[in-house]
Amino acid sequence: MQAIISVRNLQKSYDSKVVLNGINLDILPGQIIGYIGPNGAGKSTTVKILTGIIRDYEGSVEVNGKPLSEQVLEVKKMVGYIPELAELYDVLTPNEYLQFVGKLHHLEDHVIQERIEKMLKSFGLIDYQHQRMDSFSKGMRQKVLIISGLIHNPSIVIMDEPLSGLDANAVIMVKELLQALKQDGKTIFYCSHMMDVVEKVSDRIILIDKGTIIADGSIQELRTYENESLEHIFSKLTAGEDQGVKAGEIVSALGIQKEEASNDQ
Amino acid sequence: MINKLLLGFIMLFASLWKSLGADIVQLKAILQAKLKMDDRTPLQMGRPSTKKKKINYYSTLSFFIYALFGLFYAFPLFIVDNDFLLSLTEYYSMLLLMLWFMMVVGFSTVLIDTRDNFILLPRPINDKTLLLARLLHILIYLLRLVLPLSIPGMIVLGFMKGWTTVLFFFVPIFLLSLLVLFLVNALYLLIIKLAGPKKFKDIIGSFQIALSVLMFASSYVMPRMFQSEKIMSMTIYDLPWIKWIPTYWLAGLWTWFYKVNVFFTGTKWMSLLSVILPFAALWATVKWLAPKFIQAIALGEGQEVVQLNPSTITNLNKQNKYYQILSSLLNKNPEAKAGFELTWLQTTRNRAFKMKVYPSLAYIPIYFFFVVLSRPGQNHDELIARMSSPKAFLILLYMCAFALLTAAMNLIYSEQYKASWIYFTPPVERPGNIMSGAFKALFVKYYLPFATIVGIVVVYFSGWKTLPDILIAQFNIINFVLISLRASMVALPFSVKEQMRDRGAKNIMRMIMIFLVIPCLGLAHFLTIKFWMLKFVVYPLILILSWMLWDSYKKTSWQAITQINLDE
Repeated sequence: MQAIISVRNLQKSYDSKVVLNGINLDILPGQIIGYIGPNGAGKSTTVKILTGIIRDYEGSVEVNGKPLSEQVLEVKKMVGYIPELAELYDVLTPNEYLQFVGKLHHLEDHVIQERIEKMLKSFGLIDYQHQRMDSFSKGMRQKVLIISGLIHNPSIVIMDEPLSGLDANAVIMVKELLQALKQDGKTIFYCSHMMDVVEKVSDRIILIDKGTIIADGSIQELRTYENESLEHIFSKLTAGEDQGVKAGEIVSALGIQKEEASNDQ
Repeated sequence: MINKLLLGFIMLFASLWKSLGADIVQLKAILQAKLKMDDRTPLQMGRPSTKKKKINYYSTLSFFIYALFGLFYAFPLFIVDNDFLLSLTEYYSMLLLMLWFMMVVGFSTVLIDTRDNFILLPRPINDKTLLLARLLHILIYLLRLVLPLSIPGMIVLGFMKGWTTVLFFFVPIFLLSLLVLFLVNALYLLIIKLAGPKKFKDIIGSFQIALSVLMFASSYVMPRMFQSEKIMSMTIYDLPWIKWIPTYWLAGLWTWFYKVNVFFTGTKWMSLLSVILPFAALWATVKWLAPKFIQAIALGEGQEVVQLNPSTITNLNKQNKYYQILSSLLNKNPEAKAGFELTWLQTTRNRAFKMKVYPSLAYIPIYFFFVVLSRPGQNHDELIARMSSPKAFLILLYMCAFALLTAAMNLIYSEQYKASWIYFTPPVERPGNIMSGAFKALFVKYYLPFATIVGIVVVYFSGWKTLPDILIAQFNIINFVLISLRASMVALPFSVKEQMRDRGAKNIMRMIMIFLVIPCLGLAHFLTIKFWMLKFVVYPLILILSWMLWDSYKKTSWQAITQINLDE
């Protein structure tokens, strides 16, 4: 099967700081990819390159056989992006904001309206569609962002911490949504710190650290060399040190022994 | 530096604060932290510098800016000289009004900062310390305003009435500050009780806009008022109701102390009131207003989502249809439609944008009524003769561009510039499409209404023969604005943070453009009225220039767009 996203020797630096150092990836259609790594590993930079936000990079990226550097508009038509932070023009209402996004995707007005209403209803926001978003909670804004990333029915969905700020019901709903999108044949590139969710939903997990891929495979494959949870595998591969030792150091900085602290509790 | 001095002054009364129940160490630490944060907050009436090293000097810089304002408000003291008590009352009234507005506008964001609830409330700090920290913070802010604002008045009085009078000058000013403290708290509490914590910001925002308009208008109206003989010859006897106004009592206090002319019997008793009232106001503020306000703010915290309000929903729905119809009529390209609609809505609702643009909207009617129409002793025939002159109607036509130009120059800036990531992920072929839609929205909103009214006025006074001039002025104004936009930073609407407002080479280029090229275009139009043959050359040139500029603006490419780091 031909890869829907193909990345070769992807490199990106900010001044002298290397953020991505030769990333190679082949992602098959219909997969859910969990893309994980510690803070500053290069996850968001990878995402911003794949979504066409960052244009100056080295290496090659092809999406559905189209080179990103040459056919960025064609690629953008296929990609939906849901960023981590709910940055939106919040004096608008969800309806107005999503109308704006829909128009940038060249959708017909009636199609936009139909999709907005259906998706807002599914997310429980239909009663708020004409309320300004500056009074919305973080979770409500995040839901609007998720809709904005899906409104043009993309074949690839790139999500950067999509569950950030969502309540328990919405988290379950998004997890179900991921499965439904997958069944619909969409490819999902999912960046997150929430290891338990990544472990449950991903077909394949890619672990990145310091701009380089350090592990790549299904959760079963990753467990072949560390028979533990993804959280522990992640910690051992990226921190290089037992987090328990660090916790002990913090406690001892307060002038008490770790055991004493446990007894106190 | 100024903050340190003021804090030092406040802490001189540490034993008083302690007797009121405050923990002095905690109180000082809270005030130090809050003042440090104030110093790193951009000026209310200026623009923050992009240079980080200057970031700690806002307080000192604002001190000098406010001193300049104070000079402006000291005018009545030395201009209205026939009645000193009246001019002093006017001075205190303007100072009180100004301080009250400035406090309401500038301090609201600090006061309703609910970070206190997360940072201070979980700590072992007693209520008295919290309350005093809040009140003293307001008092320091007030002093930071009142000192520079009143120094010019003090100097004027020193020159006019002798330097010994300066010794007593700050007593009424201090009493006035206490009154302001009360009025600010009373207004905050009233708004928060009537509208709720979540709408508080919006209402304060309206105040900010009103203040900007008021200051802009007063800068035009006041000097003209002092040219009026009627106003200049006015005495306290013409305004008997003035004796019921607290600022008159304050003025009376000052004159009573220095045995300057006192006009009304009973002034002594009213002067006593001027001392009693501010302290009563202070007591009411500490005991009642401030705790209620803090309580109301704390209650608002956690209620993140406002309750559905059917009337709001209906209004927004109606507005939707109206701007969408306009957008569809004026734009074919969906990207241009998106740009039009976003700009329409943002400029309607974005408080920061309105703050910058609305004063310029006030300029047009103010200029129209005070500069063009009102001339002392002018009769109807003279008015028609003057308005029919080419110079008058051209000025009227071109002054309509002022609001559009201001709006266009502020279009790219936004506090929410990070939300502009949304432009970069959809398949937008040319950002110029979005920009052209945005321009049309500004044109319809900030130019057409004025141009229509002025066009009707010009046709009324000068006849239909001016119609070609009216039309060519529209094209020339489009040229003005597009040249100015071309000369400044090229970016998508609401995508650049305020601190990036360019002040370097591009800004100089813009000034040259505005001061050289734009007047040349206006002059060319003027010359066509003087020498009608020129119309055959100038009109086509203006039209061709419009077409070229518009075409180039519409075709702005991604390469031409200034790259903004959204992670900053």
